[in-house]
Amino acid sequence: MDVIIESLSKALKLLLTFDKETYDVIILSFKVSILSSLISGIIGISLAFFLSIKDFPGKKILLSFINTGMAMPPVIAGLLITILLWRNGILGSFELLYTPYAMIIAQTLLATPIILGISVSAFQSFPDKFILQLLGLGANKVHLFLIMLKECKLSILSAIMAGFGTVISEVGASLMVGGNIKGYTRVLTTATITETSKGNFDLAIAYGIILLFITLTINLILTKIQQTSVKRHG
Amino acid sequence: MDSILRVQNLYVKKSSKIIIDIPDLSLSEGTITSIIGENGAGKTTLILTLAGLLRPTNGEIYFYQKKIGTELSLKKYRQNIAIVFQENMLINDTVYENIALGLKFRKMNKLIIKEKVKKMLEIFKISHLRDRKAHTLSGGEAKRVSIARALVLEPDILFLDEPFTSLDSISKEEIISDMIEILRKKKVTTILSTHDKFEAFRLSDLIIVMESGKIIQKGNKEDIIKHPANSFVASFIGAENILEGIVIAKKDGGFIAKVHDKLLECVGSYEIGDKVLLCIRPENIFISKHTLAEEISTRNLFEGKIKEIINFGHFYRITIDTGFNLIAYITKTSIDKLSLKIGDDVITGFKATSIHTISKV
Repeated sequence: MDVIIESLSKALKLLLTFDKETYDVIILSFKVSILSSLISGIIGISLAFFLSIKDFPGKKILLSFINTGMAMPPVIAGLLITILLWRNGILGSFELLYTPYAMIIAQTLLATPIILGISVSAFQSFPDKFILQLLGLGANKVHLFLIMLKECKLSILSAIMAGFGTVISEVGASLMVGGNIKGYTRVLTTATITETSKGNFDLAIAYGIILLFITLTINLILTKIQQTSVKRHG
Repeated sequence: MDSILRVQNLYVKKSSKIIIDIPDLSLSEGTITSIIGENGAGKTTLILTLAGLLRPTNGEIYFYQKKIGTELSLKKYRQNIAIVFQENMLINDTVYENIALGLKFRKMNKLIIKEKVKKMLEIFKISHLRDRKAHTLSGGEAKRVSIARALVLEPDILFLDEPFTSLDSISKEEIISDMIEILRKKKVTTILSTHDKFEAFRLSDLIIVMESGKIIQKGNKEDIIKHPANSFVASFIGAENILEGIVIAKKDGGFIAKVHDKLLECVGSYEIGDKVLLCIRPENIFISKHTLAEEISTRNLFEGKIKEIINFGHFYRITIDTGFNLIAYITKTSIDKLSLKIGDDVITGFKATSIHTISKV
């Protein structure tokens, strides 16, 4: 118990004194995860719009794959990206493995199906006649996209936050493609593992507190969104 | 009048089922056309196809003689039309933003948009709702907004897909009155699908009757009322008495049909053995408490018993069992004068010329 209390106070000190090493890890984590969430958001939301307004053979199978992708284990994403970026891999010539870019790519692969899956179900909740109504008023595809985005902004925001929550707390992919290089690719999750294995519980707890804080904040916002949505439609 | 919309060999098929099959149809500029038909007749599919929102399996649609899709792009065509559905389909924004929506799609100047929306708010008497969020509106208010949103575009063609179905009778009446005024004043070519005969009769110059994707009758109100093409049309226009019979003899240029063991004298050319539907409007049925057969010209007289009397306010609807049911509309004065009540024995009848005969296929 003493170890926990002592570590907790040291952790708080690290955070409150803006310890450089600690904050480098925090900032890199945020940079990587925010960027990958944004890229996933752009890809996921655009694809979701396309999938929700177009009918084509094999659409249901594709949606099943997307749903499966929503539960993709991070180590699988890490493995796939490692193979792609490996020296002899298809993208090996770019020499991205063990860089933050590789982490962004891997996290994008993880977050895209999540954002895509949630966004598809949000867009598909639109009645077909609503889309016909907008087209009948002269809307083009861009108008349609912007209106649908605005109409389900809460669900889309939830999708992005769910994607962000997944990637900031994943460890497998970042470890595999980033290599956990101190001061370069070390992020909150990989740093927590490293510090725990070294017995540096104060640092590990400091990282843990940040991760918990992020998760709690995301959940609070999602709950708020959910409640607002229930009130509006209730 | 010039043809604003013309279709040729229009054919819509969905999973091997024919939804629309219209060889030829032409609609004149400035007219109001109602499409009537039972559920599943293809009314909504036809509206969506004509509005360029559903690609037909086959066929051509011409807008002012220009073939849509080749001589005129679908996108440009849609800029000339507006559509209102039964569901209001408002976006989650203010009334102003909803009415301005189509104008913004057309990239109009903000000041012009403001002016046009203001005018439309006044016409539809909803200026006080300008800044209200759409989801706080009542059904009637939301409907006014959805119609204003379409009419503010000053479309060449306005498509209305059962727009008044979900409204209460007071709101419906008010909105229809306002709409008639605007549509007539602005001479907007309008195509309306409806289940309601009063809507169809009040609004339309032309009525199209659809059944199983085909147009089975097309004409003005008088044509449809006098010569309904089938039992659906007859019942739609209010011929509450539709009797199924068989021609058993020809007589004096007309024929005699047997209906439930009774013989009815009718006019028209039918062959013995033909199966027919005899439609009689309830206002053409008379009721008496005395036998008058020798003194009047009415060919079809029957003894019957009053089964039901319903007060409709302005008139009474009486059901008489004569071996088959006959429905008559009579005034309160007549009810009082004859002291009619349920269970009374009466003489009822109608003239041979009051019967509209339809061949039963």
